Amino acid sequence: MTPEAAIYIAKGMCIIAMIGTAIGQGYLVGKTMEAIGRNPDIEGSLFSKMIIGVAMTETTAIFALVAFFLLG
Amino acid sequence: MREEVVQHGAEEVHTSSFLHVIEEIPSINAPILGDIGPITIATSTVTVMLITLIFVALTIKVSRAKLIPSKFQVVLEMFYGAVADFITSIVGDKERAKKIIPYVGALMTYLIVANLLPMVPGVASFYVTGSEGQHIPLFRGATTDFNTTFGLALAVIVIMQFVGMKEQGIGGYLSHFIQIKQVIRGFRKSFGEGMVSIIGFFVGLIEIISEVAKILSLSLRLFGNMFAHEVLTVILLGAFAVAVPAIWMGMGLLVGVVQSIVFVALVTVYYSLVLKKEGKDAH
Repeated sequence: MTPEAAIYIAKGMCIIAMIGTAIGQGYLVGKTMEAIGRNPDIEGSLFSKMIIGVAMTETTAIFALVAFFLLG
Repeated sequence: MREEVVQHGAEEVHTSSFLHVIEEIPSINAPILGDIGPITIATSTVTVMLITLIFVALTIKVSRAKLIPSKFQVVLEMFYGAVADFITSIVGDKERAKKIIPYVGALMTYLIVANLLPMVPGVASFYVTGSEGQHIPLFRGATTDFNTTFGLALAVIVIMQFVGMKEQGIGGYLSHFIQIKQVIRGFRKSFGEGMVSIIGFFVGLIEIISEVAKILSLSLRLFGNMFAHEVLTVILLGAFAVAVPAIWMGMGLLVGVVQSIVFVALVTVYYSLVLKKEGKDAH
């Protein structure tokens, strides 16, 4: 196996980080929707908090992405 | 190996078909234009200087504010109101929010300008010719360079330490990290509490690491998001014609604003944590 092939395999493995981020974001949005369904009045304040939460959850994937770019 | 990639990219430019804009994928470090004395000028440095110029112009404009506002002043006042409301809603206390708004609000203005500047039509069309004849975009987004975001995050966390020392006293602030006092107090009460406070002592040491981790997570989050967006734009521009990249670039407006809001929200939380807790929200 050439070193280049190892880099490509490592890059592919970086993408595994997406699993956790996807679960996290889905859970977050699902729970927010549930909360809005129970109490539609607070939709405005929840939505911005959800966006911030989603962006923070995304961070894990972004770390993997930085590793992805740093490889090779 | 990087050389090969660059050459490969250069070949692809010639084979691009109609409406497909095939560009080189931007490298993780900004291209360097040259040196002025000890300072290395990269393309993102040029953008930072441009942003500084914009801020100087804004400052002059704001210092001439009138009682009867012009249209531009109304926009700025609305922006200030929105930022102030946002920070107050996070802190949940008007008195403490007042202390936080000047610093964090300035940070937010800077980040929004820095994130949205590459989207302004025309800014991306300035090119310089490199030493090997390649075209280098002159204004690379400031936040798509890790140096900028790391500098911002480092400054924020260092300032937080000083604010903490000023608000809680040097000993009071440092006792969060090195909890000798709590250990002594715990052992005076009873042996069991003393053992618990020793665990607290090590947790306090871990807090020091978490301060460093804050710098990394703040800077990597902003940098990663903005850089990933730029890379994906280039890839989409090469893969599809006009329609899909246009939608994605529109997404870029949202990404830029949301990321600056996230950065600022976290800084606000850190700031309000180091401020002295008073009255009813002491816990």
